[in-house]
Amino acid sequence: MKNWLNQHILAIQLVLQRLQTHWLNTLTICMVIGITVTLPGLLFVGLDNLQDASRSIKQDAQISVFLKPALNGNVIQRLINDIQPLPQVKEVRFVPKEDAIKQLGQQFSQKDLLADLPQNPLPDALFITLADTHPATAKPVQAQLQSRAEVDEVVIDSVWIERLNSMLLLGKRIALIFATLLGIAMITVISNTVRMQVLTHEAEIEVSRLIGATHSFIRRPFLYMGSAYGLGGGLVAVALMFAIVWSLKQPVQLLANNYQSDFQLVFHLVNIGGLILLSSAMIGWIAAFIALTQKR
Amino acid sequence: MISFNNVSMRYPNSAHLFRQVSFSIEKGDFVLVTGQSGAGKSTLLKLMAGIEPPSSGHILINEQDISQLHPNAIPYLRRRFGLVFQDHKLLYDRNSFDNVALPLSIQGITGEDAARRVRAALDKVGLLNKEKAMPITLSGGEQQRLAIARAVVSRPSIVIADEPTGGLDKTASLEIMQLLKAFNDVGVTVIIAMHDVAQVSTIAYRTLHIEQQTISAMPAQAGIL
Repeated sequence: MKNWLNQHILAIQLVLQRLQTHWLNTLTICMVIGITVTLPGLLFVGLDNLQDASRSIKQDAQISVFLKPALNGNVIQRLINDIQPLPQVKEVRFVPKEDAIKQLGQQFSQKDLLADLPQNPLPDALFITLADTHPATAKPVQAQLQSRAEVDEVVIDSVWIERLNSMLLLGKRIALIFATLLGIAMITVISNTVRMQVLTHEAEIEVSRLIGATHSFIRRPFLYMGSAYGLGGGLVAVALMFAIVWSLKQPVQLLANNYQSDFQLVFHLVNIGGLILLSSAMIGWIAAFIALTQKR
Repeated sequence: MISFNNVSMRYPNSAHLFRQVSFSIEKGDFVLVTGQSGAGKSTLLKLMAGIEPPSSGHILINEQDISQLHPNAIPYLRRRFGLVFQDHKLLYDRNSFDNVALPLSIQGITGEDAARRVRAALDKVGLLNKEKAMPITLSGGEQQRLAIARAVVSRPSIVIADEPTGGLDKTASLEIMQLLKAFNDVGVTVIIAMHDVAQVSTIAYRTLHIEQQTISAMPAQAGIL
């Protein structure tokens, strides 16, 4: 056990020594890998942020029911009483058109325009919060409400979120394809580098084999080397992504504020950073393994 | 210790080097493998060390048939031997110390224990003062002594040397042979492939002579150091 551990320590020491000796070469490879990983990585960060944003919006998703004009209070109350017991409904809130115009006035900077209107153009409305915002839940409620004579129009506010989610799914798939292609490029780069290293150390490999080195002993430093390149590239990528997200954070926040949103660009260092480091090291190991298998 | 039973050897698309040869080497023997160039001396040593498999027959090392060994077990077999090559096969990007330490690293022996054993081996071959020297700065004789230090550092019971004096002058050759004899004197079995037996005229040895696809074993010669 001790000898086995010693061999691993020796292999790691040897790899670190070789990386240090050829530090410029190491840096170049890590930069190439880092930039390669950064591109799909940033795409994932962007999608991750949009996903977070859509999740927070989703919690407030509701059905807006615009009522026909000139309904009296009793009719509206009867409608509310009919809706409230539905199992899909969590909450019903009535907003009279007078309150609606006031709210609009508070949000609208051109208050004079509203004052100039001859009459309140907004309808009375019911805002229904559903227990579950999934389209399968919302659609039957929408149909049921639309069939009522008191109702003018029913709008499911979560539809656009579903569209956004579909686009996010598409975006993630594209990012995955992108990441796979760049992963293959990364494997090629590391694999070639490790193959060159094997050629450089051919004499050492031959002697080691002759004096009793096992396959594992010979392959181990190269596998560690591949992982080290991957890990180094991953570190560069995480640093680059962190810097890019940090530099975009303020402009994005300003843009979000203009749309009355508290959206903030976030880089989940532990989750995404950790995933990038782990997957880069794994890809490096696989690339080295491929190089060594071809070499055999 | 080493036993060849009806061993034949031929490389693909070439004639037999030997056919159905049988002999044995006992513990503590000092054996010279002789024969003309191309007779198969180096191949014989490779067969003993498990570097090449025989075409047929059985090779037993300490009663263990090496042709029955799983390929993964071959490296462990080779660790029982100290191998010395005519072209030294030293690593020229490492100093003398690191070259000698290589077999120990392979076995996972590191730190103080390894350092002590490396220095002892270097001391035995008279290169203790050159542990930091790069092999390229050493003379041919010193390089071969360094290779011997590497071969004996893991305390093998058998040392196999392929033309260890090739390319060396008479004095350096004699030094190498005396060194190998010194290991033999403490119980190590030494097997040397050599074409010029005159270089060892002063050493007692057994001979395995390869000629016309056969190996003839001769008893110990009388020359004594």
